[in-house]
Amino acid sequence: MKRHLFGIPAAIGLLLAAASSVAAADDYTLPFYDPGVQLSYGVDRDPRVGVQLDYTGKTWWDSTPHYGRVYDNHTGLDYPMSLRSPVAAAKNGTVVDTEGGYGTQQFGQFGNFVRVRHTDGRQTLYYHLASSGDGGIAVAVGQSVIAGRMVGRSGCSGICYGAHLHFEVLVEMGHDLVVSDAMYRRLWTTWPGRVPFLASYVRESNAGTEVIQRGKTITHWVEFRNDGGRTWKPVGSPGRTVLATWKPAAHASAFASSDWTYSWLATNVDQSSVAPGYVGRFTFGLRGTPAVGSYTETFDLLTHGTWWFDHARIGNYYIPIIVTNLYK
Amino acid sequence: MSVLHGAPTRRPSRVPRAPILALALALPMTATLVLRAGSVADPDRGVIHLAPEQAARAGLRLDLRPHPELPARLLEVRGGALARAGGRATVLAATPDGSRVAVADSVGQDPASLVVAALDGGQLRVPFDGLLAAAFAPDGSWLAVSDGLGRLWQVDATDGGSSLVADGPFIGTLVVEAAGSILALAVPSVEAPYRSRLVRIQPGGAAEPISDEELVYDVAPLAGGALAVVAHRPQGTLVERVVDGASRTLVDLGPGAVHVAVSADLRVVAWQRDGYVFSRTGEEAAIRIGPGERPRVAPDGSMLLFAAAEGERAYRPDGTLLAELDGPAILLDCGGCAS
Repeated sequence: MKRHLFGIPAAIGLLLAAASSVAAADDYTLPFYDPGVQLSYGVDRDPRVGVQLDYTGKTWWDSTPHYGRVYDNHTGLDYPMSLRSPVAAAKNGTVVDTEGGYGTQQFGQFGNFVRVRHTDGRQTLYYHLASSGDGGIAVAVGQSVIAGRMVGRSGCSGICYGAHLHFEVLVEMGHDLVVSDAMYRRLWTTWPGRVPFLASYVRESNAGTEVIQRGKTITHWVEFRNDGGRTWKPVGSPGRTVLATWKPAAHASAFASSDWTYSWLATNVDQSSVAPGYVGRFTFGLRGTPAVGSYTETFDLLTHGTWWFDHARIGNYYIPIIVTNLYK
Repeated sequence: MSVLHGAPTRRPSRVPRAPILALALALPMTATLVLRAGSVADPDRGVIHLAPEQAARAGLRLDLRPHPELPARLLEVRGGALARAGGRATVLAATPDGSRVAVADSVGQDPASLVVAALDGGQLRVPFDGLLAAAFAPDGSWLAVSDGLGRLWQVDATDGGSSLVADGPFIGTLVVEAAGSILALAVPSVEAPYRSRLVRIQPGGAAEPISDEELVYDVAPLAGGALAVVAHRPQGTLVERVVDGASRTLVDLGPGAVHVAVSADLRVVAWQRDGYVFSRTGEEAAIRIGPGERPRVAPDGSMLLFAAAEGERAYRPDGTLLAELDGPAILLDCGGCAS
């Protein structure tokens, strides 16, 4: 709960923060996936005990915690979340240090963490994680991570009074690291910050039942709004976002047509880039391969080849399908 | 009586925070800078003195009981004050002869009382803005205490008078050396100490980094004036022997080894990994003692003590159970006592 600019006088750190307080173009996203998680305490930008300067610029002349704003001498951003909730890398980077030896809820002066170095001269710290044995550490030192990749799971190790993620952004200055306030500096791709991957259903070519003549292929498209903080792309990493079968994840579909990448991967996003807030379309064929009858096929969005979007938040998307011998 | 039960309030510091330590750490490791011109007394702390009968009447008595079979090494702490703390009380330190112990009614950043309990049942209760660690001076006359903000205090063991030594923040085990200097871990943040550096703080407040390690988990004095430093590296946890600033790695415990404790001759090492306590004697293979956490090793290496689900357990380093305890206990630095 304490600010101390390790190795650099506090004043220098604050000057640095102030000089960079204009809206930044950096592409950081919130370090978790659940958009329901809210900030409990942010960085205290005043190093004095009893004086708190929050990310909005308001000064509080006390040591009382101010929920949603600031906690005296706090060096990071606290996000309460359930135990073992996934924690995401806020930006592309390389893992430089991890600790997972403490118990998931072991109270003590040290706890579990992951620290990631980014190419913009900053590092991010994810603290109070669950133990390694409990899935708390999902990356290894030296490993490259792309923004939004899961790096661990939340816990309450260290000085912790309830499961939460303590997230810090640090600026490299020689061998030292200086605390920076991601909120004050608006380091997010969007403001306020968004979780990396989130989508909502917009519309589709046929919201009713698709009727397919057996042996024939129809074209279907569906649109989702990019409610997350990362741009969707049809190819490349990071950002490649695809529509794939769901329930179970990546199962071989009986309706895969020749334009599918795999029997479980219907299509990449159509546009070359879908920025946060914009709508992406996914167009694909459905082939009436199975026997005559009524079916459903369920889909979800998948990004980075590893992370499935919250299916409930895209409206539990599925397509009712009737395969018939009759000519439509 | 109400004053005894009144929770101390969180008080804004009257002492300006000093970023000077940070500056000291930014300078070459050999640099010695004055952290503070001198210690600052804190006359308003509100120390409570309780005679043995007063402590008993208030239900706050703490009894120090040398273990019947291991009296020179193991001190049990019992009493109503522990019950009142609802299981949050922690025995932080004891004098080498076991005549006094320091107990926190809770450890962490919540307001807490440091209880200095004597063998006769009398006690001092010193309120703090949180308590992280405490250690007695070798002669037992005073304690070094780090509060919930990581500030370092010197507390008189007989009257509870306290003075601020340095702002820190400091966490981790405190060690008071014979000359009155204090070993502590300087960190950028109490809540998220991803870095910690071992420093020696002189009585006047001068601080001198004494290890190059970036993340030190613990320090323990060794025979002959050397120090054992437990350091985290991305590849794992090391135990190093530090003499005059030069360090030599003695044991590489690999990743996931935490709460490492050593004997004064470094012959016995104990640690926690994946919810189990392990020990290693000399060059012998490590053995898994059992489920538990936070092992401590007697300075003479004769036993280790750790917290199991059922209570404190004392073992020989070879895994032989010595005692099952039904409450808190602390290992004493029995000096030259026979094994």
